[in-house]
Amino acid sequence: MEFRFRDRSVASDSSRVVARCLLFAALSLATFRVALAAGEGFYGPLELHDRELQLLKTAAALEDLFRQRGYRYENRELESLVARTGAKLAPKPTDDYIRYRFFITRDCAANAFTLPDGQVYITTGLLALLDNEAQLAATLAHEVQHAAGHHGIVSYRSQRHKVIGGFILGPLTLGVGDYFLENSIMGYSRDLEEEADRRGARAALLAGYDPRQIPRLFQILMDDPEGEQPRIKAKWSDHPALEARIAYTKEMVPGLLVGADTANLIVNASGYRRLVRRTTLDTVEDFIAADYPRSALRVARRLVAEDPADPVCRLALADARRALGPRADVAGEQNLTNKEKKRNLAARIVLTRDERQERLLDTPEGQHNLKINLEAARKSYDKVLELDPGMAEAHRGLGYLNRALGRPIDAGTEFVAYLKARPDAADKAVIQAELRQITNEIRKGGTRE
Amino acid sequence: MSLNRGTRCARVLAILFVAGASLIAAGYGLAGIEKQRWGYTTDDFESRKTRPLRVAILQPHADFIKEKMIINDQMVAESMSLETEAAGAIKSVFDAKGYTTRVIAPADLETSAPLRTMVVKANDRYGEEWAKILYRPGRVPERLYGVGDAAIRLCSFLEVDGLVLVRIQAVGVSKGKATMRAIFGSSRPTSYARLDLAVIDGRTGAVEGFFSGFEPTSLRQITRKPSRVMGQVVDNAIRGYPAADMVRTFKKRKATVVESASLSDPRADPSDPVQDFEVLLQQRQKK
Repeated sequence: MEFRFRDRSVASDSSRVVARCLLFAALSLATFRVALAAGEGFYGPLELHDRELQLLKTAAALEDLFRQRGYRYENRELESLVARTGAKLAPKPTDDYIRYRFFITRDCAANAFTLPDGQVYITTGLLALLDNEAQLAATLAHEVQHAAGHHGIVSYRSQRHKVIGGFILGPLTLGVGDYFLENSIMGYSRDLEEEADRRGARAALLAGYDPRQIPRLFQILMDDPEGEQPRIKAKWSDHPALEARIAYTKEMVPGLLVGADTANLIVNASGYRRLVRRTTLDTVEDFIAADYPRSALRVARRLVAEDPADPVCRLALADARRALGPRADVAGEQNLTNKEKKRNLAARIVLTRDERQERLLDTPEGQHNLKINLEAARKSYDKVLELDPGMAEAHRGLGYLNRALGRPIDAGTEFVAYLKARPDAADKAVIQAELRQITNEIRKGGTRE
Repeated sequence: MSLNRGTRCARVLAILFVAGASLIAAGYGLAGIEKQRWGYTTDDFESRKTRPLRVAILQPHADFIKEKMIINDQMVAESMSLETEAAGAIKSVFDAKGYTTRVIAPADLETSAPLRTMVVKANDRYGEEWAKILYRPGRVPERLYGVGDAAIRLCSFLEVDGLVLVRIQAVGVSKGKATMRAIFGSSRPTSYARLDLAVIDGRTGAVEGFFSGFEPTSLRQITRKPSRVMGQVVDNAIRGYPAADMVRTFKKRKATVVESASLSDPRADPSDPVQDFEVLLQQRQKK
């Protein structure tokens, strides 16, 4: 009896072990299946689980938050262009929680993003960098595909399964499983991005836009005038590498264009650039305010190239040049190593603007760059006044320039000229504060002029 | 014998030490909060030279994360209610201390485009500095951090002496996650709210004071009683903020002078800078 019992007990133990092994194997297989699944959107109606409703709640709240915080950019003509272009590209919503709407946010970072309920945002920084309407359409088409394919929701579901899988496999594999799961989450996201690129290109073509502009769009995003975008290994990135995106879009475009009337595809460079002129000027200002003077200079140079006789564009160029200070005109993104880019980025995160400037001014190169940049800025300000003597903002710029050169009397004279010409200027208080400081410095005898 | 005497001596010494420490502690307690340097401030802030008396409190920015078992939730709607409650609580404290305050609410931004642009720029610029202040708050007294022109323009537009900029971080741990953590013996689950408040001088744009408050709480409290949580965390941050008429001079961290001053702004400068400069220039030319 006892033996039998023991026998039964042994049999029971072994079956339990087998059962556990089977369960573990099943769970492992399920987890690996989830981990290895390719990212793929779902373009039909998609019913949401209760726990996913929070995603929509957050999206709706973000719409309010952006409006309340004043992040939206107001420019009726441009808003209308973005909305019109987006409407051409958006498919009929498959679910009642999707409603496509297109917004512009004031942010100098070149970016666009989508929320699961169909809100599509594009930044002023990206709009200022684009060459034409076809590139705008390509951007919006990509973003629309994220919402149409429920990418936010399927990505959430996949991530959820993977995290649960990680709970099981993580401890059993002493953490090694977590590494692969993390990789898999990133890989899934990259797959969805590539899908949006490919489907977006097709949608842009169907709406009549030239898909040959897409590789150029990625090239624009790849530019790094500040030398602060270190490359991340593809496996740790949620987007495909820009080089890869350029390569596969270049490869797919000829196939797409077979049978298309390529002569009548919309590009509209001149009309688009004319429409974004004001936004581009605002972006120069925003880049300077955010301490990205090389990016500001790049955008301002383009403005001047588009309209060399426009004093406002010349003023933007002069301001950008002055903002460079002790920095070299070009960071030399081609010459910088990844380590140097990382170091530049770390300095921006940790040090204040003054500390970084002081470091540069301590070097002979920094002193040299300062002289060159201020001289170039002076020439640009002179050109502004030559084109339009009433452009008082040039006096403001010359005031700051002379201050940087240690010439307080000249600086004060320029500031006075500005304040007299623009008695209601928005920055009146700032210039008055500068002037008070200059007057005090001269009184204390701190000038050699 | 000697051993016995030694023990008695040690006991007496211990009692004396405890009594001394108690006296010192009581002394500090009695000295009151007004004699302490609260937060990180510049000397000019304490002596009221750069402390703004008329302040605009910009709508705080809050991030509220609900930590869950599997994927965390970003609680945007709830964070907006934390922002409103925090602004109200800060205004109450500043009002009670004798400052003239004005809260710049989202409704104000919706009605004025120039104000909206200026507030966004000031907030963006402060956002850049905030991360650096958190990294080295001890450098605030050296006036290392500043919001620059964005703050000067905004203060001039609002006709105030300075700005109060606030960032809030709240984390609420769900019951499931808390239970799992407790079972698997990881660090004790905590829900908390943290508030960082910076005072900006409207004439220079410099960060003159930086104050932080922390309050352990619960997910339930944050979501159901945001006013209580924000009231507590604001109190923790700026309880020791000097009253509007208080002038303090510090030697190291000890107050050597505490006195009351009249409520008139010592920084008022009615002169016209253009005229001043031109007069100075004429004087130099005559020489």
